[in-house]
Amino acid sequence: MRTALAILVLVFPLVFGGYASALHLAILVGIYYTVCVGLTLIFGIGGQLSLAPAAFYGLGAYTSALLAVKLGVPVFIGFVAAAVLCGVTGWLLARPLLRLRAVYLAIATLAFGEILITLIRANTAITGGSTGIVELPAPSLAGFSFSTPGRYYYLVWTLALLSAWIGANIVKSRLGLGLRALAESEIGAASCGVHVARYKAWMFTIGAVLPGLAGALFVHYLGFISPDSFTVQFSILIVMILAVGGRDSFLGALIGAVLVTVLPIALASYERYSPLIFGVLFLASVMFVPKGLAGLLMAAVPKKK
Amino acid sequence: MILQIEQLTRHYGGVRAVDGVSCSVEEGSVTALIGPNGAGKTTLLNVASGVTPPSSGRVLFGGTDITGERADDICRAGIARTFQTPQLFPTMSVLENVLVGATPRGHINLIESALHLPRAAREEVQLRAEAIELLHGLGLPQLADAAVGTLPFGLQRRVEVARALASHPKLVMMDEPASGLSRAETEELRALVATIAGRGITVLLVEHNMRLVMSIASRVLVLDKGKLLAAGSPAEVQANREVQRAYLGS
Repeated sequence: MRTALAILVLVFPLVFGGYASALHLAILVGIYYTVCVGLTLIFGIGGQLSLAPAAFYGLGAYTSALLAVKLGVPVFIGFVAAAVLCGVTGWLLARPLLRLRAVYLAIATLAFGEILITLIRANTAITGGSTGIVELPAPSLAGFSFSTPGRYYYLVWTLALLSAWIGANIVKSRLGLGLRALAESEIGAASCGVHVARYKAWMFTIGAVLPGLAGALFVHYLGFISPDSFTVQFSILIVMILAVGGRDSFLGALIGAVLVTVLPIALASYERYSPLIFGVLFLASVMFVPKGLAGLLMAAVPKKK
Repeated sequence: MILQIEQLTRHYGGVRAVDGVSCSVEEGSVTALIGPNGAGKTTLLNVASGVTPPSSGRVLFGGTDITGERADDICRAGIARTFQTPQLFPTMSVLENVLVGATPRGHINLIESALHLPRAAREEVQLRAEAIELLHGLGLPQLADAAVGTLPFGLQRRVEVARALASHPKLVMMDEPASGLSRAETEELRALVATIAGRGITVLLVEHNMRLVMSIASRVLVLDKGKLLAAGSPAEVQANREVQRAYLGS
């Protein structure tokens, strides 16, 4: 199935490349998916509900945008800087934050995002405040510029598939097993030799780097940046993607990301009702399909041994 | 002596759950820790395994001071344990539970895991093979893929023992392994403890079931109201007047 997905991703622009909106949506799906892989590790595997994805998405985006516009740093180096800064921030925040559990963790991570947004809005001289910054350059590598959606698509999906591959490797590894274990019993996991605080710190670091990179890719795709893209609503969108698609597999994140991106288009003529429809969908997933659409799919497909 | 406890005290507010206890566990022995409810047995185990820090006193493991170290460090040092209420990972399979137990045996770092480098792949295969072998040894191979939460209680206890053994410990501490087990299951537990001891692993078990204690323990420690009341062979302890008084209230 992995191969099938990879081929689908590869040929998608060849088939739908002529439809600008299809390509645009596919780029958004790739960006959301990368963020979702990060939250799948934290929430789906490690069982900790973080509302920080939007904060790291914004931190990565502003890092790369400001480096490019203010200092003329090449965009790809800005991407690396965004990843590093988000990773370090995630690592440093992990220990104080992840002592908290459940709703307290959600509130603390939410607060972190709100503080960041407030700082961005307030420091108008640097960040452009609420208006943001326009005319962000497109990334280019060795003279090849990712200036068209067709090219950007491949950049985004390289990152998305790489994230999913790394995520899947981690889930299979000792770290992944330890995270699933501590989600169910921290005392049990610790008594098995799992360094709970360190495992959570790694998980939170990876879960900060991925949205950071995705955010950086997002704003250089759009060509402008403003704080509105990084409010808590974005984190809630990501949580919703996981709830609808399924939070314990990366396939679920993909299904959810596609659905949440495409559904508003399909419902365009009922736009007024779209929050209602999304709300009902969210609640219905949580209440009746806890393993999400991916869970339904996996139950329908017989297991191969 | 593989485990030495010196002047250990742990109080919760004004209650001294463990009050100046000194005792030791001989290497290779099956030692039972008994005592009436509230005697401080579980607290003693929790302090020794790093689940709770002591208020004062020392814990030495193989001559090394491990007082107040974190539970995962103590596990890595060679002490594994089970809990009175099993602390398993219910949605994970039996095999996965055992693999988590093997955590101290892994040496792969995050980068190697994330990129699935050859060393990581090799270690994964090796630990998995060892875990399956361990399940064979404990008569659980057919349950490897079953979710632990769906198993009957007796089997869950067995899985928790398997998980403890997966770290290749020198000492296994079991907190009331027979509680909630049927008679037949208790018999199986007795055989299991004998198997573990047969592998040269020291066993310290907290137990209420006196028949079980008397038949498998080579040494017995008796706690009462947070203090060590007696220590000796099962026969000596049974003959001890103070122990009889603590248990029978006469």
